Amino acid sequence: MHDGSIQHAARDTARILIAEDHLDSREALRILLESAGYDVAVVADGQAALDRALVDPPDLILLDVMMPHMDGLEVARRLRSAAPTRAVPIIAITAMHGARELALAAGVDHVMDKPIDIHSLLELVRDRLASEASR
Amino acid sequence: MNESGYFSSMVEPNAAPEAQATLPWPPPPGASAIDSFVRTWTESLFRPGEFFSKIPETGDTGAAVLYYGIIGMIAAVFGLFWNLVIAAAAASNPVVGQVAEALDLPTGALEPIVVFLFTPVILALLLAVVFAVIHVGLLIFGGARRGAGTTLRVLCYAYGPTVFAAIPYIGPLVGYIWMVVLAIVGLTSAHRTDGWRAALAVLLPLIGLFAIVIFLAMILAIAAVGMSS
Repeated sequence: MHDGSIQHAARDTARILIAEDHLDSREALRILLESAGYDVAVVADGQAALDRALVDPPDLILLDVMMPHMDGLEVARRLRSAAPTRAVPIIAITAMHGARELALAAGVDHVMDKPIDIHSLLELVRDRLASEASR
Repeated sequence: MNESGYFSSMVEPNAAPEAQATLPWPPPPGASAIDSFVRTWTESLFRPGEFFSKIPETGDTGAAVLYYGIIGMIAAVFGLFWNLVIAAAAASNPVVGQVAEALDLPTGALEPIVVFLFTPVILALLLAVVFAVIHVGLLIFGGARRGAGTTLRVLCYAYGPTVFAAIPYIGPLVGYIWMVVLAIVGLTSAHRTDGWRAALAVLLPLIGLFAIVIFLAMILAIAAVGMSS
């Protein structure tokens, strides 16, 4: 059960890339994750997400499935086939019916359905980053 | 007509009353106030050289300040409307709602309404500061060939484009750029001065303000980095 508070990330700040074309959602997620102590970068389309991640791989990617220029599924496929981003955890966010299986097949690690619950998202991000750090 | 003849015609004793009569605002006796207001707005925006050359040198500045106040309130109403629409749209986003609740962030209508209620005070302070800064600039650059009243009238009538706040996002930006252009054209025409003197008087304070904002933003950014490390 969540108590409504935002728990702070570990002091060794993890870097998260948010790829979301909807401005309000993008900014809300950025504020949320920054408030939780993460170092956050944001992009507004799939091509920008791919370019950014390949040049400067983050510790985790939050990827909207429906985006302009390149959808999240194609971004995930290309990230998985590139050496710098092959192991970067990807959490896909989607409102599309039936996108879960497609996203997992594209190489996404976790899929969250919209509307997302921010506490579940924070918990997933924290757990995933912790398991990556303990490897 | 040579230049000295042109300028000497501007100081003939009967020149000012004649020019005053040709301005559509304030409404002449018997004329529709709305019609006069719309004509003033249209002429000042789309024929600024002609319009501002008719600005009277002397007399009451009340009509010009009233025009400025009405324009300012119209722009504020449009601004309030779009701010409320944007706030409502943001609040209807489930992620925004959850984040705002978790972090205790304001997303409601209160903030835009409070800002709107202070609009008359903000407009008065803005006009006082802008008028003082620009008229001192005109004096420094030798552009104040007429009195301070002329500068005040020009700045009031140059405020017209701010009603482009009716168009969300891009409207206020277009309005402010147009307003700056009108202020330069208006001061040039009304003071019978060189364009570069008016431009310096208007643009230098803006550039200075921009530099101060950038400087303060850099200081804050450096302080934030220092606190987080």
